Order: sequence, then C-alpha cells, then structure tokens
Amino acid sequence: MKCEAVCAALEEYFDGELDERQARAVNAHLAACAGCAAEHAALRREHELLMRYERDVEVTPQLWQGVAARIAAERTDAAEHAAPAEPFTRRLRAWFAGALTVPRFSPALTAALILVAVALTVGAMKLTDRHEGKTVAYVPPPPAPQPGAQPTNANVATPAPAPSTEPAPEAAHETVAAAAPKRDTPRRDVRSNESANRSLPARGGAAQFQQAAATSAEPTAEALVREAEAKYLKAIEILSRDVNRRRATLDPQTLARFDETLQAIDRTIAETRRAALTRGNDPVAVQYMLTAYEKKVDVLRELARAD
Amino acid sequence: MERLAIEAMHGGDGGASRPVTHAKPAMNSVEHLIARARRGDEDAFRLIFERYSRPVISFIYDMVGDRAHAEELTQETFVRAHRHLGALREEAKFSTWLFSIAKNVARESLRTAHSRSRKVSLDDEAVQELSDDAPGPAGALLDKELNAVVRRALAALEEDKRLVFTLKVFQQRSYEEIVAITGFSLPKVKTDLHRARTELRRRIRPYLGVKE
Repeated sequence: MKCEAVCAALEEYFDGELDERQARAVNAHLAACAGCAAEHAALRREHELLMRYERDVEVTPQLWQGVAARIAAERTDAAEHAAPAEPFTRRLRAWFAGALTVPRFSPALTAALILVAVALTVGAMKLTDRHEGKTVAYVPPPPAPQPGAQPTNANVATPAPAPSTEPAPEAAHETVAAAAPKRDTPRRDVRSNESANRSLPARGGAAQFQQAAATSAEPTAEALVREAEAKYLKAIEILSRDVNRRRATLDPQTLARFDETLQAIDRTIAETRRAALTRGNDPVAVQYMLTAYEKKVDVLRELARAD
Repeated sequence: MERLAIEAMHGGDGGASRPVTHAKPAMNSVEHLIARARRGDEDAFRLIFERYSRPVISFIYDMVGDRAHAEELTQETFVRAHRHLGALREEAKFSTWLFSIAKNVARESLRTAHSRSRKVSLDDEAVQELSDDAPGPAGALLDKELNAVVRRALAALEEDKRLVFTLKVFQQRSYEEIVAITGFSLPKVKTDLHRARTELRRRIRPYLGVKE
C-alpha cells in the first residue's frame, strides 16, 4: 500500500470504518512508514485534545420538569380534542346532553352535587338503620287473640316512635351500625335488650325488610345509596376534568403524590363496593364506600385549587 | 457550574453498532422502556430522558453554541420524541432516531433570524481571533482556554460540516448512523467530515504542539 492511499484512508482507519482487509493493510504500512505513522499520531493527538472539550451545559432537574409539563399539557390537549374525532351526530348529542346536564360553572355544580351526595349518604344510612329497626320491630298483624295469650304481645304490634325522628336514639343506632361487623345480629340484640318483653317475629329479617320497604312510599336504602354514588361519580367526573386541565401547571411531585392518593382511594372504593354488593348492602361497607367517594372528591377539589 | 465532560456523554446504547460496555438487564433495555412509555408510563420515559439527555444536550449545544438555547431545544427534542414514539419502528435504533429529531430541532432553530445573526457574530469573532497567526500557549493548554477555542472553532464551521463533525467526533457515531441521522449521502458525510477536521486542525494547531 502506498503512502498516498494510506493518507487518503487514514481518517477512515482512525474512525474504524475500514473493512478488516483494508485496516490490516493500513496497519502494516503504519508499522513500516515513519511519515504516515506521524500523521496517524497527529490525528490521535488532535482527537485526544478534542476529547478534553467541556461544555458549559448541564442536565438540570428543571430540564425534565419542563419536558414532563409539556407532555402533560399535550395529553390534556389530546384528551380535549378527542371528541371532535367522533361522528358529528354523536358529538351533537353529547354536546346537547352536556348542555342540559353539565353546569357551566363547574365548582358550583360540584359543590351542589357533593351536598346532595352527602345528604343522600346520611339519608341512606339513616334509612338503612331505620329499616334495620323495622326488621326487628315489625310484626305482622296479630292473629286472633288466643286464650291465655300474654298481653305484652299485643303491645309489640303498636308501632314504636320512628327512630329517625329521634336524634339521640338515631345516633346510638348509627354507632351500633358502624361498630357491627354484620348488620343483623348486633342491632337485633340491642333491640331485643331494649324490649326484653317483646317476642321476635318468626319470619326472617331480610324478607320483612323487603316487605317494609315495598309497602313504604319512601325510597329504599339501596336506591339512596345508588343515588348518592351516582352524585359522587358525577362530582368526581367534573372535578377530574378541572384537574386534567390544570395538570400541566402543577408541580410534578405534588401531582405524583395526589395521583398515588387517588389510586389508593380508588382501590378502597372498589373493595368496599364489592363488599357492599356481596353482603347485601352491608351498612358498614356502604358507609366506608361513600366515605371513600367523599374523600376522593375532597382530594380532587384540593388538587383543582392547588397552585 | 458543573460541566459535562465529553467522556460522560457516551452513556446509553450509543447506537445499534456501538459496543455496550455494561450488560444491562432486559427490564432496563431501551426497547422495554419504549414499550412502557408507549403505554403511557411516564417513569419509563423519564428513564429514557435520563439516559439520553446528556448526549442530546451536548450535541445540540455544539450545534447552536448557547446554553439556554440548547436547554430549550433539548426539551423540544424529547417532547417531539414522546409525541412520535408510536411511529418508531426499530426500537433498537432509538438513539439514532432521537438524534435525527435533535438534528431537525437544532437546524430549524439555526434557520431562524436570531440564530443566524448570532452565528454571524460568533463567526466574525472566531474568524478574527482564530487566525493562523493567533498566538497560542507553547505547550499545555488550560482547559478553559481550550474550551473557548473549540467552541469558537465549531461555531466557525459551516453547518453541515459542524453537524457531521459533532456526530462523529463527539458523539462517536458510525458513518452509517450519521447517514441515517442527517440524511446525507455517505460520500458527503466523508467529505464534510474530512473538511471539518482539516479546518478544526488548522484552528487548534497552535495547541497541538505540532509544527506543520
């Protein structure tokens, strides 16, 4: 290999871009030619000098925060612009439905929904509690008096004052309900203790509960629970929309903490909901579920207000 | 301020053809991180950012010559990468793909009036200060002075040459990768690289301690 050819290929040789055969030939020439070897050494020195070059630039935490904020903003924009991709009729229907049901001022509506949801929660819990009481207190019309029957039995048929109208007993019942692992036994015991001279009906409590609910004009506890849940879900939906709009402006660390909290609450909601369904609207599970919904609303509301 | 040493820039996969010095578990492979990021996992994209942000910001800084501008363009590069992650076909060539985005971002920026005017002033300064007759230290070169010399020499290079030179010398990309990143033909890459080296050599010759 001649010097001219080696000089022409020297940079490619230095860069490791020659194939094996060419590289071997250049290598052999450099070992034998002092002039070309000096060129190669100069190239190496030049490279070493350039490798000492340091830039007045660094990767700061703010660099990632800026990227993360812009990505979050793009996600929000994408979510907001997802609707126009739907067919026109669906968009029109969605807009119309939204115009009727979604308030223009979401904080006010959210507050109203929360109030309704809380009221429904309280109502549902009271109703559940009262029905629990009825389960025990309700007795079908007594049969014709039998000779020798105890007069106390007749007193049982007389309706007791409704617990819901009496704050103090109500509170006592709620305490019992919250503490009781199951809604049937402890409260029945309490009632039994309160009126030791009453005899419990022979029929099952659940059937009587249903009968009482069916004959009553009032909504059932289950209906109230479902309504409260629906209101919470609506409030959560509205607040989530507000939060998503604000995500890009929020501190990423704060946002991460809130997201973790929300995930934990979602798990609680799912678990308590499952428990409520499998245990026939167990008041304890229902109460925990609605409390979890309320907590989620609180967290979202806080996030929507965060700076 | 802490500075980025060139040696520290060559983390990550360094491109498909680069030898990997540290075996990485599959869970942290770029392919795995990309798959997670595509599913909306922000942590995965943050890890990608941590792996590639240094070489990317260094590359962009070499192209635009301004720290604040380089930071801004680095953010833009990663935002674009995130936006188009779904369009990436060969995950193993993520680094090449990312650098092609960085190249586009830097070149778009350089075409703005502000960048052009800034470059002209740098060129003027560099040309005046880095003439062949400029006096230089006789032997060892202070790092600070070297940095200033190299920065000015880079700024004085024509844009295509600076792009190819930076990718080859500082980012240690193969010719094949440079072709993929720049879209230039292989002969152009070789020619531009040779001319850039010649020009850089002329400018830093006083510091090489070599008499030509």
